[in-house]
Amino acid sequence: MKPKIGKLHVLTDTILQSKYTHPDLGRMAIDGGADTIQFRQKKGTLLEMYRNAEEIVKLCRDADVTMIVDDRIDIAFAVDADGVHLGQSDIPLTIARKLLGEKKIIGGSATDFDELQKVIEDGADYVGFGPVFGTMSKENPGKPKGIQFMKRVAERSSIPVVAIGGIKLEHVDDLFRTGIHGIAVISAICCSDDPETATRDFMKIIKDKHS
Amino acid sequence: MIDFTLYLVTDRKLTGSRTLEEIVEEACAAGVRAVQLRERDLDARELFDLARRIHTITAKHEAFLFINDRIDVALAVGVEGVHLRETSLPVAEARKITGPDMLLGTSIHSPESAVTAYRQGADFLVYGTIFDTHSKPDLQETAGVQSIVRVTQNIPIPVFAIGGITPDRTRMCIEAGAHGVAVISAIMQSDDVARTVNQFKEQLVIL
Repeated sequence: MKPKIGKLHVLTDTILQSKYTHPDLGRMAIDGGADTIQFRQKKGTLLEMYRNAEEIVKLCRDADVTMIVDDRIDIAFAVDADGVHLGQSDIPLTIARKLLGEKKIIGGSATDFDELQKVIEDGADYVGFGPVFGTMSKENPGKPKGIQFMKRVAERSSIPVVAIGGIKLEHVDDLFRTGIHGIAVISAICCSDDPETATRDFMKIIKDKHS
Repeated sequence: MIDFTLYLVTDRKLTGSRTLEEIVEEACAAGVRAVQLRERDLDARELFDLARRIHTITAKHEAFLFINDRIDVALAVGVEGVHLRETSLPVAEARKITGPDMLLGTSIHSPESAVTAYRQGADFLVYGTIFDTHSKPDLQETAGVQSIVRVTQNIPIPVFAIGGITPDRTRMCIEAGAHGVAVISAIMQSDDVARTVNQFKEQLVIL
């Protein structure tokens, strides 16, 4: 059986902040109750990524949290992660599926309905859709969609929708009311003084109102 | 089985008015049997697309194509091998991902790391930087030809010398123990790729 696609995906980031390492962020997010960690290291060597991913996957296993690797399928293989997340500038989804098989989660990114359709056709298990709001975590993220647009996305999509892009605590309740499956958070957790508490705050709203 | 002695390493920023595809086509037509796609600034999709185009060319000439560092792109395109940096995955970890059939080349910079890479199952090694080169301006130290002796003496797998290699400098690398040479700028920037490849081949003929 495939691992579950969580409702709160915490994406590790060491570009917007440098106080915490990837494993630090993974550990704090897990301790705060995140149900999916997306290891997302954009800079550094393959060896560094591998060592970080190895540490995070162990933490995830112990806590029964889903571990997704951004972009690098080879790292997902090397640490036996639960899946990968592939954007429009990564290896095509159909090819990734051939490499990874049906037991691994593959997430795709979409910013409009055409890309959404393609991601679904290409066999993704979930779609990361956004940006919902303006974001610093991505270069050229595209025009913010707003919360109400996510309702249409959730209606149109036959696979779980994970909203992404500038999501803050105050958006969580409204966002989940649109029918999306989950949210992906970077800055609001990684750049927080206390990522564990920040994660816990997000998770509390999701658990109390949307589970 | 490593039956090539001339290992072409790409740098599409050195090809001037010509495309990388043209250079690789000419080089393979002239007898290059192994190409490493080393385009570190490309994202995975760009590298995947380029690798597919280059693989069509290398496959036509029955040459091997290696992808630098991105094991997943190598698997995705179905090329013959991966080229690991010292900062990529350890060879043994890479081997678990690629399976037994894919060739694994590894760049090394010391006799010690040569032994480690060999023990972990590398099929061949690339050692340098031997001479001054413009392809790797960040690596200012050159190791010199004599250092090839120390790297090659303890390991049975082929070692290719890299870094500022020209046809004139090829023979001394072979005499120092290298199995062959890895070449970037001498071919990427050549006005006559076929002629340059032939000059290398003359130097690489085993006497």
